[in-house]
Amino acid sequence: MGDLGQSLTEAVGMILRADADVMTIVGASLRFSLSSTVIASLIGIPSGIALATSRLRIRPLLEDLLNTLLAVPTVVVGLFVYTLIMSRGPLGRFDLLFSPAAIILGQTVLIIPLVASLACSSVSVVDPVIRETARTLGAGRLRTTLTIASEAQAALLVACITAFGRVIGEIGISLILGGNILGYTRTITTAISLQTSKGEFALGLALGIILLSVAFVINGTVRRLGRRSPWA
Amino acid sequence: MGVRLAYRIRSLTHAYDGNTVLDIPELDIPAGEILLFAGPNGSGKTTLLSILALLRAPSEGRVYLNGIRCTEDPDLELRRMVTLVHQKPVLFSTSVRNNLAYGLKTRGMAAREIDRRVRSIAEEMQLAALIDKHARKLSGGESQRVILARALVLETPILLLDEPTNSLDEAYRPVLERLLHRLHRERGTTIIVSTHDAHFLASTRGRLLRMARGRVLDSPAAWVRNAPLSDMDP
Repeated sequence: MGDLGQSLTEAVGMILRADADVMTIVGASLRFSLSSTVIASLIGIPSGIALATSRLRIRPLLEDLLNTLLAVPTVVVGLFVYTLIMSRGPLGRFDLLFSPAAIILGQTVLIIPLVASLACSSVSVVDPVIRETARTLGAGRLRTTLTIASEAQAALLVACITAFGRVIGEIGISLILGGNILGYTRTITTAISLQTSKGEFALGLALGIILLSVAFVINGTVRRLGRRSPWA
Repeated sequence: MGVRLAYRIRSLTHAYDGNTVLDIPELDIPAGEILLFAGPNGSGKTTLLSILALLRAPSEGRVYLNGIRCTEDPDLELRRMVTLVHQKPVLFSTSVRNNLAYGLKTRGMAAREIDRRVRSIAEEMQLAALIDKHARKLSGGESQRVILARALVLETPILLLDEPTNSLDEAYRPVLERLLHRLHRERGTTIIVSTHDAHFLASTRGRLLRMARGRVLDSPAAWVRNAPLSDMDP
């Protein structure tokens, strides 16, 4: 208990004085997570909307496939992307391994199904009369789709925030694809893992407190937005 | 030279899950007519209007709009000839102004003209005080007036109204009736209304066709009314 108390005190001190290592690691985590969330949202939201508004017979199958991908462990995604970007892989010539780009790529692959699935669900529950109203008022296909998406905007934002929450807390991809290089690819989770293995708890705890704070803010935001979404 | 037809319907049937909900062997609707479909709930009025609005294709049969056969994926310009006011007052979650302007924007109209038309319809439907209010904050009666105004502002050649007086406050019924008659008189708009509102039927001039169990009970040529009927029993 004494060690824990001392480590916690040190951790709070590091946060309060904005310790350089803590700030570097937190900054890298936020950069990677925000980048992958933005890219995944740009791909996942239109895909989810397209799926929700399509009349494809295989739509249920595609939805099941998406939902299955949600359960894939981060280390499996990390391994999959590793085989793509390793020097002998199909993307090896871009020399991405152990770089921020590799982490962002891996995290993007991880959360595209999540964003697409949530976008599909949120658009599916929009009142069908909205679609018919848009069409009868003369909207073409694109405008009708944008109108439906606009009705689900709070839920779509929740999808993005949920995806951000998923990547900020993942470790498998960051570790396998980033290599945990300080000041370059070290993230909150990989740093916590490293510090714990070295028996140095203060930095790990400080990062853990920050990660929890981020999660708290995310949950609060999701809850507030959720009240305004069609799911509520 | 024959009468110009807004709609020509031939051997129309529509079924949900194997149950036939609409069966109209033949029906012509001349352009510029006011046609009232009266009948109880489940008589097929709403399904018929959604087919006439080109929102769904019938299971079988042919529907011609302005002489053009309607397909499952109709041309946008053809669709823009018709506006349907749904029975359920659903508004887009934005301001009343944006709701009223929606259809005009889809037609690529100039912002100035959109503004002029929106102001004009808002005045006529007594919505001017609500113009910047969020649509979700309106009462049921106010919402109904906005969805009617949103359709009327487009001045399409054909206007379809599904139970337009359902959520409309008593005080605004004469306003709606006045507007419909003006559209009909000044622009020759074809107006097709489904209703079981006896007051509306009594005060609206036009051809009345009664429906039940998906069929039109009256002969299509029947009952052209020149004066309001007060003794109608829908």
